Amino acid sequence: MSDYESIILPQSDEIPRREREDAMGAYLMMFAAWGAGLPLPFLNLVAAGIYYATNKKKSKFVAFHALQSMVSQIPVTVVNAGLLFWLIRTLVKEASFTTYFWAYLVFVCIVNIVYIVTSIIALTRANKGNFFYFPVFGRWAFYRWYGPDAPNSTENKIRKNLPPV
Amino acid sequence: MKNRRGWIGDILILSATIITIAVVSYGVAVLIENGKSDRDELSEKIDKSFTKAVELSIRNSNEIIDDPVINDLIKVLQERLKKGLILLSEENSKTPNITILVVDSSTINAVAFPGNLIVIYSGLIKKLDNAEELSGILAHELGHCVYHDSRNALIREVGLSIFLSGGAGELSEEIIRGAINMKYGRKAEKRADMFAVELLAASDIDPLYYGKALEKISNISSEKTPEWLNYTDVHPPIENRISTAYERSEQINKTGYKDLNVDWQTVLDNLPKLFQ
Repeated sequence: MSDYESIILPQSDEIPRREREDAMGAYLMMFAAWGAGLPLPFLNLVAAGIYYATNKKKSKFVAFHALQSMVSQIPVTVVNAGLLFWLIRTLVKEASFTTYFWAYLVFVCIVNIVYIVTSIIALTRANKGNFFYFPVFGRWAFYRWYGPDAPNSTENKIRKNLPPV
Repeated sequence: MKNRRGWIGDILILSATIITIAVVSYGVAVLIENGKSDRDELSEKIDKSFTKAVELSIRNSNEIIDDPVINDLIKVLQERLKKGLILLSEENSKTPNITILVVDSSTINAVAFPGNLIVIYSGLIKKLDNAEELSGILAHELGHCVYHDSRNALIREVGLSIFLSGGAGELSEEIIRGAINMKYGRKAEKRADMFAVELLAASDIDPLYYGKALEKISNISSEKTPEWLNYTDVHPPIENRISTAYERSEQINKTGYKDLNVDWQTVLDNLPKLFQ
């Protein structure tokens, strides 16, 4: 059994209702900020940052979901900002929209749809007191809050007591 | 961070998702682009029907000059500029089929309408000193035609319904007046200025004539435009346009320009005397 597999996670019945709602709030916050911040793509990221900073001390479960929501928004925000920049540049220069622009527009739309669907799944899972991992971002957020080097990690404490070499 | 296999798996899943989305997006964009030729064809059809309606309306409400000398002048200009258009279109798109009408009016102007219809007012011809200068103004209007500036401006100002009503042959005088006073925007004007210089050079006409023509037109208004208005006007300041036209003309390293050999005095003599 590796260090990774030995991490003991709280099960859904062990997570209080309040924590589940706060964890779900991280994704709901993203949707609300997204709607309010359009067409500025950075406002949702600012809102996610504030939510994470204010809620991370409530519990590890809440902190994990808030961090996952925030970190996963970074690439989506960059992609959306790129589209906005390209659009404004084309309009200001009165240039024509190229095939690459249309391709990028479709790409951004699909990425956003995939991200919204994934976030809705994460939201419902968080509300049920379950973990849901986004590829890469979920794993990173998990390690940040449940890994051996996480704050107040029991694993960390155990590893400090090592047998004599 | 342990569990390398998990990380690699995550990265592979994310990469595969992004690549799939990118490929699908490019495929959709190519499909959009393929549909563009159909849309261009439709736009051309709409333009044609609009041109007919505008032409009819102009003929009904204005005095069209139908004089052999003036017709010959237009033919000479068209033939020479067409040569340049073909040369330029090798890099851009196909050459537009232009209709030119000369209207008897004191207005010192020329207007490009959607559908490659250009109206030249006799007041403008009287203000210029030779056919080469007129070819410069015509080249500028051709620039608006090539870049579909008039169609875009009209859609922007009046809406797409104008083309549908034009297609039905019911074009109101208000729309025609709107088209005459149409503002293309600073960028479009600059682009058409540059196009005029390039087209004159490609047609073996000295591009300096365009700057000269602009100077003649700028002298019409004795009132100087206030400085602050230059920032709000959709046309770039005329002084800037003239200097830019001269600068660009001098940048074109070409010799062997041929004059159009048009007897300008005969042209002026054959214009109606009503508006002097």
